[in-house]
Amino acid sequence: MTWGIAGIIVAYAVVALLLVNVILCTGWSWHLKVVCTLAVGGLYYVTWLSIPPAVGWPTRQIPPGQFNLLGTHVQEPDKTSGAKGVIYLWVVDINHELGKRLPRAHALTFTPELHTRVTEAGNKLRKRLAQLGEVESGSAAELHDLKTAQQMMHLRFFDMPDPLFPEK
Amino acid sequence: MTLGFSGLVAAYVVVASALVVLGLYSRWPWRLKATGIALTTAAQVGLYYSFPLLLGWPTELNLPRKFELLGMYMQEPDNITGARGDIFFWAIDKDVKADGRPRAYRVDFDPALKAVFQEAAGKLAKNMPQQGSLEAPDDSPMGIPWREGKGTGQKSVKVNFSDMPRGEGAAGKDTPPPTAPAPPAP
Repeated sequence: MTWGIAGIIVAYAVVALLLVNVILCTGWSWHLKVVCTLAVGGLYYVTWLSIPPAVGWPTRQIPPGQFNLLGTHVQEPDKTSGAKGVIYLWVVDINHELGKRLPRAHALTFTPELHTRVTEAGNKLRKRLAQLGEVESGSAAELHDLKTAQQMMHLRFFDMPDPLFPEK
Repeated sequence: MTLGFSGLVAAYVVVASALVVLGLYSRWPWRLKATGIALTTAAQVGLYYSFPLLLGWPTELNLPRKFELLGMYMQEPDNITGARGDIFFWAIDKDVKADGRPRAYRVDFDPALKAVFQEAAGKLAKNMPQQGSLEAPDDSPMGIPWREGKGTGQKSVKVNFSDMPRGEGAAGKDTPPPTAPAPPAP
């Protein structure tokens, strides 16, 4: 998430740089410069308003290498409407750096094989058997084409091992 | 979410238009124009790849009034680190106009709220789909802290859960995909 915010800040800065260039280095009339300033201000405001409604929805990015499964939801393909199936997972990265572990929702392309595994893991989860998910993504994690990355990854679930407590 | 994406598309179009105007009507040398085009393109590509990184994380805004609970995750306050607690929940908004996909939400930790969520999660574990109704003090899309200038925190919300009517609800309904039908008896 930090990288996402950093990317947006950099993009904002680049646009601001262009605006400063327009104001300082052109011989345009001040009317035009004011219009440019208002346009960029409007752009910032619209972007600021647009991002919150998009947060919270599942991402198409592949899940982390090892995660604790929190929830599953399956939308099967619908031949009548032609809707493709989607498998939603709600997970927490267990290898996340120390501190807060934020859960993240992922949307994966429906495949019967994945459906079977996710359903089985979901059923165990409902029986309070914590599930550990492992993604073997190989080079898929570095792909920007999320659809191909999802096709290349291999997802497996295991019962979470019991925590070991030191003897008294 | 459509509003969010349309706003971003509009923002992209405004920047592209500004670039076209700059390219056509300014008396800048072509090198400067080329640099401007390259910088703006890089900024837009950067935005395009930055945006997916923001998706999937829980939101504390636009909490649903009526929802179906799919899962919950809790982090209690930590007196040592001073971290405030969180209650995360994953739910489908049951509003008629709402998107049918699940969305992740966050509310401030509260012992009373924790008990309510834990009870609902217990019922969910028994395959009893839970319907929640939430009363937020303010539904401002930009949240309350920003308006009050408090910086952090969220006014407490009230959540009530009830069993969903039979036959409704997606939770617990996941069934394994149908296997191949048995061959007909001779």
